[in-house]
Amino acid sequence: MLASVDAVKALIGQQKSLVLAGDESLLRALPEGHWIGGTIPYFMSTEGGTTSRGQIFVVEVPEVAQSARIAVYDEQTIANIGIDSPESGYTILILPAFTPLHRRFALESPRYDQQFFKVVAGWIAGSHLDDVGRAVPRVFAGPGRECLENKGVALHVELRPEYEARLGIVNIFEQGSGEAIQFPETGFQASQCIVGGKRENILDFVGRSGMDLRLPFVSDLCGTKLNVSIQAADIAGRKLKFFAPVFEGVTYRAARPIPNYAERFLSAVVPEAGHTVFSCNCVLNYLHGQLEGRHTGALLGPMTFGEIAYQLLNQTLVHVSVSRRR
Amino acid sequence: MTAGPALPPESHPAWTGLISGTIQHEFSYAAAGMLLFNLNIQWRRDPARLPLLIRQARAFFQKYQHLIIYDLQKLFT
Repeated sequence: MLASVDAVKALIGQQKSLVLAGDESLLRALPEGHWIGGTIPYFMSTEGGTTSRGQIFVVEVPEVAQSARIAVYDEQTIANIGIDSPESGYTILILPAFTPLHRRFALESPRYDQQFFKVVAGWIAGSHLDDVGRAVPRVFAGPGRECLENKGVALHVELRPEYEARLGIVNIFEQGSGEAIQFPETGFQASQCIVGGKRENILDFVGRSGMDLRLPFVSDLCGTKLNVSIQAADIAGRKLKFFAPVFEGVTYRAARPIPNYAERFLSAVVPEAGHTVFSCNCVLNYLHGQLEGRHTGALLGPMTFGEIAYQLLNQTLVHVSVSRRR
Repeated sequence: MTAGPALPPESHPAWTGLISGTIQHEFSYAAAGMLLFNLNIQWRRDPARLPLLIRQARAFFQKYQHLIIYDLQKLFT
């Protein structure tokens, strides 16, 4: 839910464990307490897509939690995120955008110990799109009112034994019918790609294929479709820059165009058994899908600079639900 | 963790097929697909790690078999 600073202060005063998203000035105004947060002014709320610098999106840890522990991570310790995540429960991780930590997590998290064995979700903190390049994305650790720009923060939530958490990914994009493309090197940018076994400049590929750069490249990981979104075309440098890394050896295809984002989300989001305890979506979906004022279903939360579902995702909705074990 | 029927032993040929990619399967649970894809990448880099990679896959399936019952039936029967 979206709430005022005073309402969030009241929740903190009630010793609630909270995950918060909002403008930096609002998060700085909060007292010490058992909360984590990250900067972002875009939300999917009960009122639909909303841009707000005056309200905070609040998620409370569910009553079926038996403990919630806050931990701060840096480049040396982030590899432990899966190990630290509870065996029965879930972790919400927030990392600041455009930092070495963000980059390291994006490149290395698929190889972290225990990463896919635990429920590790979260998001990348950012800023208002008008402020990119000026504002510094930040995360907050409530116990010491720490405001961090080079570290990440996590809330590890352990559930009562009779409950379990599940992570869901809603990706409205599918691989299009265009040519399969690979990249010779892993990274956040590429000048070369491999199509049909031949190397080619990536901008030449974009030009001759007519690819819409608002659409991501989509890979297929044994049935799980993951996106890599395009940040910019560097015409002078003859390369593309991405919001998440492309990986060497992985096959991608340009996404099939989507005529109506909001309707696609409404049809794609299948109600989960259980209680949704976390959700986030991508600011690029908010932007390209013109979601301001529009509803995309029951899954509410921040619209972010990247989503975390075990690893870094782009242009995807991530959610965690809690239900009684069967 | 939900107890379920015993999974096939690590010597079952389907494990090798899954890791090496000779068995192609679209998993219904996202983490399963992401894990198997990454185990396949590790196997391509160093095939000698196959026994360790199979052990990881089997441990994952053991933990989450209640979420991938359909996949297990298709892969091992």
